[in-house]
This record gives sequence, structure tokens and C-alpha cells, in this order.
Amino acid sequence: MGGLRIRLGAAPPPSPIALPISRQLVGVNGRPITAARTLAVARATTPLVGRAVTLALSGTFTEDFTAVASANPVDTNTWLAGGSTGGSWNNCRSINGSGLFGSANVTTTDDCLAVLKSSVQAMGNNQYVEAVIQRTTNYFPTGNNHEVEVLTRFNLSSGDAHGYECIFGLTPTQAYIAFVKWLGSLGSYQAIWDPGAGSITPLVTGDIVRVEISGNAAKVYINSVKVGPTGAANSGIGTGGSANDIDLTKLYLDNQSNLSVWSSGQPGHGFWPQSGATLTSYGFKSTTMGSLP
Amino acid sequence: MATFQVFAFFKGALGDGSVDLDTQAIWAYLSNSQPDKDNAKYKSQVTEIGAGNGYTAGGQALTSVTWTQQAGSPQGIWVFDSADFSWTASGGSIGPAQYVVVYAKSVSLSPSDFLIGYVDYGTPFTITDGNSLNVTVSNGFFELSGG
Repeated sequence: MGGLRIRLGAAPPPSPIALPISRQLVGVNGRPITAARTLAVARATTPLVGRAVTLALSGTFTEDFTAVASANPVDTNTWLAGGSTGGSWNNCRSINGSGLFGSANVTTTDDCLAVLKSSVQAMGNNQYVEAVIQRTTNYFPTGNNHEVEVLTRFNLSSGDAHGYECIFGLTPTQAYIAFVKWLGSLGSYQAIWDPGAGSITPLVTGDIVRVEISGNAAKVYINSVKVGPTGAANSGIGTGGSANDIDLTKLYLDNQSNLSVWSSGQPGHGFWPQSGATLTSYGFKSTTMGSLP
Repeated sequence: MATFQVFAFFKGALGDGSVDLDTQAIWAYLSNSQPDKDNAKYKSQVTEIGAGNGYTAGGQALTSVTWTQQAGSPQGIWVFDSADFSWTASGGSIGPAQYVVVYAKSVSLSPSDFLIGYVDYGTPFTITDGNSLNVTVSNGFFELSGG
């Protein structure tokens, strides 16, 4: 009967292959494999990055023009003058007991300008002007317009006036508001917001206008009520909650525009009294200027 | 707000031990000269404004200086910070100046005071009598992160 046969007591045969002393890896073809390990080091990136730090000048500049000595141009220790400094424009004058006014009727865009000297109070790039209106009761210019102006980020030197102007103007029958970018040379400017005649109620003595400029936007307030555009490209006009900021990168009604923005300068005041305007009938009683965060 | 600009050589100083943010006194001063961010190494290379009217030569020592790992997630963000500081003009004006420059005060004559970084106001300014320049370091001067 066939089956499993077991040989008991038989010694195993000797191995014909000598065992290696060290452990060896063998490939499929029987060749030894050398196990080399590599570690590639890639440069770590550890950025050292500056963080935002705020530099802000404290203090505001306040001038009660009714208490300033009568002078044309107004106190040159404090103000740069459109005529004396800029050459191509006119000066502002102070009348003691009354206020700050234009010194001459303009012929073109040779506005009367007074820009606060940085040596008196340097303002941050974000800044505000808050000024009190002086207007003879029921005054309107005859035949042409008369504007009082708040200047921000303004720079004035010989032959160069650039920055931003907020206009509070009078026609012979109405009032208007506008915001303009001055480009430098006489007559060179761009309208940023210009809602036209009748866009505001005529200002009266004691009204407070405030203009803030911060980054690429400006805000305007009349007696603490915000006034601004309502639509794209600074179109329309609204008050309070319906008023938007003024977009300094847009030409009025031109949504395709992409204006560069003046980033620095000083605050100031200006006037545009055309022929038929009475210089001392529309001006400023006082002003306060300061930096914003 | 302006971004704190870090001098190129300071990055090296962090590694070779020229500056120790934990132990050295950190100071700040005013300058009206554009700092050379890539090449300036020592305080003497960025001109300081003149002393007087409330401004002391060398500027001022910063307080509550810290070089610490930012809390929370992600880990590994180290921040160099100090308390806010200011200069107030008294008896006249300070300036004009345009830059606030931060440096590590030397503990000996050599090496000199090591520049760390600066902040640019954007335009020259003058601190008039009774007014101040306030420097608000609300989130630190710089961070070291990544890796």
C-alpha cells in the first residue's frame, strides 16, 4: 500500500551554500542591491515682513479770521498765498472783525488761495477742514458766480497749484456744490463731482462746512449732515444715509476713468469771485484743520 | 498707516547675533533723510534731526519691547513689538522730519548702533510747539513667519 513514508533517525544533508556573514539584499536577478538613502534639503522660506505702524501728528490748527489783523495777503507767517507764492493765482485777504475773503475778482481760474504752511502745522495725508461761513444776508453775486472753497492735500509753489478743492458756490440765484482736482498749472483741473446749480441750499453765516479726505475718498458735511453723490462715477446728490463718499479716482459721470490720486499736501481755503461778485460778502469766519487716522 | 520697512542688513544681524532683540535696548529717532534700506547698516548712516524743543539726541528708548511668538494659530509667527510712543514739542518746533527710524542701541562702541527699520510719514512734517507726533504700534513692527 502506498502512502507517507517517514525516515526516522536520518541526519539532514549538509548545505551546499555557505551563508554570508552580513545581511545582503538580493534582487530578482540575484545581484546584490546597495541600499543608499538620500535626504535633499530644500531652503525654508521664513519671510520677515514689516507690519503697519501709524504716524499721526496730534493737534489741530485753528484760526479765527475775525481776530486776525487785516492783511493782503493774509498772514504770510501762516499761509502760503496764491499770488505771492504761486504767482499765477490771487491772494486771500483777512479783514479784522469780518473774516477771510478773496482779494480780487478773478478773470479766469486764477482763484484766490491760502494754504496752511506745513511749518505751522504739518498735516497727515488723511486730513480734514471744518470752517464757518460768513455771508452777507441774502447776498448773491450779480451776473456771475462766487465760490468759497475748502482745499485739501493742496500743494502751492511758483506756477504749480495741485490738490483738491471743494466748492460751495453761488450763482446770481442759486447755490451749488462741487469737488475738483487741481492738476498744477493755471486752468488745469478735472471735475470729480459736479451736481450743478441748485444742488444745495445757499449757505448762511454760521453754517459749518467740513471736508474730510482719506485714502481715495472724500466726505463733505454741511452742518454735520453728509452730502455726497448717490451713484456710479460720483453721479447724483444725496444727503445723510443716501450720500456716498466722493470717489477720487473717477471723473464726474465717467465710470471708465481711473484717475491718479494726490496723496499728500496741506489744507487751505480759496475763493472764486467772478466779475459782479462782492468780495467781502462771502467768505469764512474761522477754520479748524487737522489730521485724520 | 505706513508699513514698517526693515533694513536688509538687519535680517543678517538676526542670524549672526549682531542684534539681540531680547536683551538690547531698542531706540527710535527722527530723520529727514531718506534711509537707504538696502545698504544702510548703522545709525550713523541715516542722519538724525537736531536736538532741541523736546527732542533729545539719539531719540528715545522704546518701552515694553518684546520679541515673542504670536499666540494662537498658526504657530511659528514671531513678532517684534513695543509700546506706542511719541514726541511732543515744547518751547519751539521739532523737525522737519519724515522718518521714524528704529535701531538697536549698541552696548559698546563697536559695533555701532544697528539699524532695524523705519516708517515713512510720506511727507516732511514739523511738530509745532505743544503738539505731538504719535507713533502707534498696534500690531508690532514686523513678523518672522513661514518655514
